Amino acid sequence: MQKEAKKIIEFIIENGASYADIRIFTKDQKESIQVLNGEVEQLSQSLAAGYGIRVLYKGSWGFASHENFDNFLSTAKLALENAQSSSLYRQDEIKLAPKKIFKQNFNTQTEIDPFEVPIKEKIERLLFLEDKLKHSKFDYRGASLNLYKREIFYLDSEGAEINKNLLDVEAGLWANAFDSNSQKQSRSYYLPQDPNTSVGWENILSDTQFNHGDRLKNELLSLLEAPKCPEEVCDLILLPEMMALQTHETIGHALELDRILGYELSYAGGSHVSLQDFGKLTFGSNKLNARADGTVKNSPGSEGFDDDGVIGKNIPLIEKGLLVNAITSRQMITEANAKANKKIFSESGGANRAQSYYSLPIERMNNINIDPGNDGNLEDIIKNTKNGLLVEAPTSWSIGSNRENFHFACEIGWKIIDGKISHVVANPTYRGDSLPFWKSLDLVGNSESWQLQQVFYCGKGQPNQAMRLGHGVPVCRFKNVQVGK
Amino acid sequence: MKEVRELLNSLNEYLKGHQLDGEILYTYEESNLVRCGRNQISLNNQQVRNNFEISIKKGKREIQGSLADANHSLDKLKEFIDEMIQKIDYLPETPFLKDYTPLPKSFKSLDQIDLSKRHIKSEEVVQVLKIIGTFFEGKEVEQSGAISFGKSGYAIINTESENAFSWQGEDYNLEIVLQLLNDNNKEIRVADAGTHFKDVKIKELVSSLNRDYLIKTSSSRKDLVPKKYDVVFGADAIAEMIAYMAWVGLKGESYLFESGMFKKSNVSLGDKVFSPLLSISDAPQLFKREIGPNGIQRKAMDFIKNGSLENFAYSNKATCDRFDVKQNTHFGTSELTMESGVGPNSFGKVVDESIEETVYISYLHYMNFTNKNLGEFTGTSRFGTYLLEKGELQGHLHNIRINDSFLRLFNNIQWISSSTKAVNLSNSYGMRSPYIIHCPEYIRILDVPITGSSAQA
Repeated sequence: MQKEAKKIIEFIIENGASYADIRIFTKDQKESIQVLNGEVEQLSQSLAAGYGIRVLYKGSWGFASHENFDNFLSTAKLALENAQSSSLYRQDEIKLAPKKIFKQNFNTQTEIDPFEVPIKEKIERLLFLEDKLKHSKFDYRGASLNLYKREIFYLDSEGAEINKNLLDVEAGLWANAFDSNSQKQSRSYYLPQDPNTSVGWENILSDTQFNHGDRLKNELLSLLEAPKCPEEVCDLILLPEMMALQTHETIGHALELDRILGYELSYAGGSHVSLQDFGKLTFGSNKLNARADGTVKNSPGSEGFDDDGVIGKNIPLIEKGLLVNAITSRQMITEANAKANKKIFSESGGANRAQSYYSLPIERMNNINIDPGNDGNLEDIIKNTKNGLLVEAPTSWSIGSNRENFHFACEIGWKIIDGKISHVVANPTYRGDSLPFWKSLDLVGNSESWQLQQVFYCGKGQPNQAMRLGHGVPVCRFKNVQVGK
Repeated sequence: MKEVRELLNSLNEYLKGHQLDGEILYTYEESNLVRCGRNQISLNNQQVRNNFEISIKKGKREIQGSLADANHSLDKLKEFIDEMIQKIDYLPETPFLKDYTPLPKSFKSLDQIDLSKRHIKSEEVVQVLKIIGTFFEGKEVEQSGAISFGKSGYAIINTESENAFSWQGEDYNLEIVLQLLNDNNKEIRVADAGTHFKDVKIKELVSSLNRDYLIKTSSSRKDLVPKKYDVVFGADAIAEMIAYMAWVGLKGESYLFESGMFKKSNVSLGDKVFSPLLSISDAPQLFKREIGPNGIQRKAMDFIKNGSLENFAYSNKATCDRFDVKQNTHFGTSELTMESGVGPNSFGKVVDESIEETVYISYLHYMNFTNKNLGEFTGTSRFGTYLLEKGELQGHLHNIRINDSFLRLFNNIQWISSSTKAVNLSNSYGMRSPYIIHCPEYIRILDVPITGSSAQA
């Protein structure tokens, strides 16, 4: 297969292309188990294989994919034809920034391969965890497990050859019930990862990482009698799941360079950030340090190399509140520097990624993380809050088309009065304008509060691609936020 | 698809031979997308995918699997089925599981592909984008957009049936956005969808874009004080609202699990839930998918009739089995239609009849529910937010945020236009599957809460 792929690359280059790459998924495997109210709701497995060929011809992209390996050559010809027709409507020639060439392997570090664990054992573990959510007041409870294994070979006309063996483990617990106002309330929990351990069945066996049923049950019981979140302006403390969403929507998407340049306008939208802002724009308070870190271990956003063949990098995006870099690829940094008529970006951030073999890679978040701060742990932050709201677990998110404003809703909130949690509130929401919101960041939790959240369904691009990524985030406090409205 | 149907029939016999129940769904796509950004083609993509989704039931145990097998190899599929069979005994029993529903016998497989219009080179698609770009050349605009076209299909069989049913068809959808570089990066958009790409009317697309271009470059942009306004929504915004409301309100699964805004414990069929002006139905129309990919016949069905709840859509077998309800449609291939009314049938007439202060919203961006229980949602306007008053267009507005509930919104309808439009809401997560909503071009709703704008950001 690899020899065949090399011949295909040679064919494409011989026919006038300046660059070509092939991604072959020799295995794209998934297994899903869902249990609901003590019964197996679904057990499914899927298996796919295929390849995508990307061609640069006279400065324009063409791409074609197929699942039949007998069609390798015809698919390559189609990718070339597509690039040739793209070149008929072109403004600037696409040029790829230089990269270091690797011939290397990348494997997810795993202790227990979950695909090797007997189905019976997996079901029993999920039923055990789900049972902890059982309560006479709850109508539904469930647990889910999605396992993903991918074996990918990447080859390009510049000489890169990369083999990846990737494993991701996605899992969740949830329960819901009617509250005293006949409204459905829910509590859920999704498996985070720990950069200091490994990705595998061991995550599901870990009580610390995943056995959170008792906590969720108690929180849902509190929600059933809880008053509605009041409408007010107060300090807002975001726990890791909400911090991940906040970071994702208002830092991550806003700083994708293709989006800043206007390539996503017709669908996802643009960005309030312009090329002139780098090195100048105060994005947040001086407590804000954000990075695009493709090197964080055990995250679905860390794949060793991106789909340009660029090695994973740790790129500071915001330093002490100042915007310094973006989420970048080889193509976009060249284009952005040319458009700005100066060198804003020195190298690709290694963030050009595709959902699968049938998708063209575009700028995607890898791990958009917030550095831990020096303001203590969650308890310390609560102690230092006179009038606040602590929130967790996103239920809804809506963001302005340039990522300039947002409105988020959460599963649960805790009212904080005079440095103590006073009571649980239901249906908490909050809203803000992105830059003022990040400028209001005044307390950043320490490494004890930092957690690596997994995201499995970040949508972007046309055709739509659902990307896997991570957010390592601490607990944070924001001043004077509009909540409950 | 004849070969695929025969393959499914063979696999069906294979399952029967093992004394097992089962259902097999084959889906495929040959999908093309040409995308434009910054006045040039940024992506020119073709993807060919196919998949066999297999459910096997042994007594009260069921397992699902899917295999992407481009060679349609009977042996490989049998091998995959054998692996599934080996695992099924490890599953605990699910007491409520029921038999598969026999496929309706009265429908013949349907091939909607028009070979005379089928062969499209990506070069032709590039030309459409180029023509639009050329029209606006020199006007300091940046063009972005995407044109997606392709064919897709499915075939289904189950062990309660003898012969597989198949459907295949083609569709296209497009959207073009222009960003006005000399006018504070304001945006305008046009979109279209249908079956055959060769039916695209480029002149109409250009004309629509030009109308909005002239409005946005000849009038000033204003900001609104957040409060309640009477709002006229355009077709794209209406379709988005109908789709979201249907998702949380009309799906039988959310009704049974009581996870949406209509719950079995507090709403019954026949209850009046919306304004008597509102009627929403489903029937196979443009794409003629008489039987859905779940094997269930998609009969014409009223969901909301004159404001009253008439039906819910029950698609999912597992949920229907759990609640002992019969599947009655396939919601994913629905073609929802919102009935038209007697209101203005053109933008000009909308303006003429807007004597009182009225906000016009053409499109809603990034809608989401803030509270599904109450049907509460939020979203922002985009691509054309205008202020109308005294029968004139007073200017255009910054994008504004709405926070409202469907229960309130659809009870405050003042009028619905007499003209209709088919709005594309397909997305390509997963396989290509056209999804269109037929809705009125305009609808006027009173007292819509506007809670903020992009000007304040």
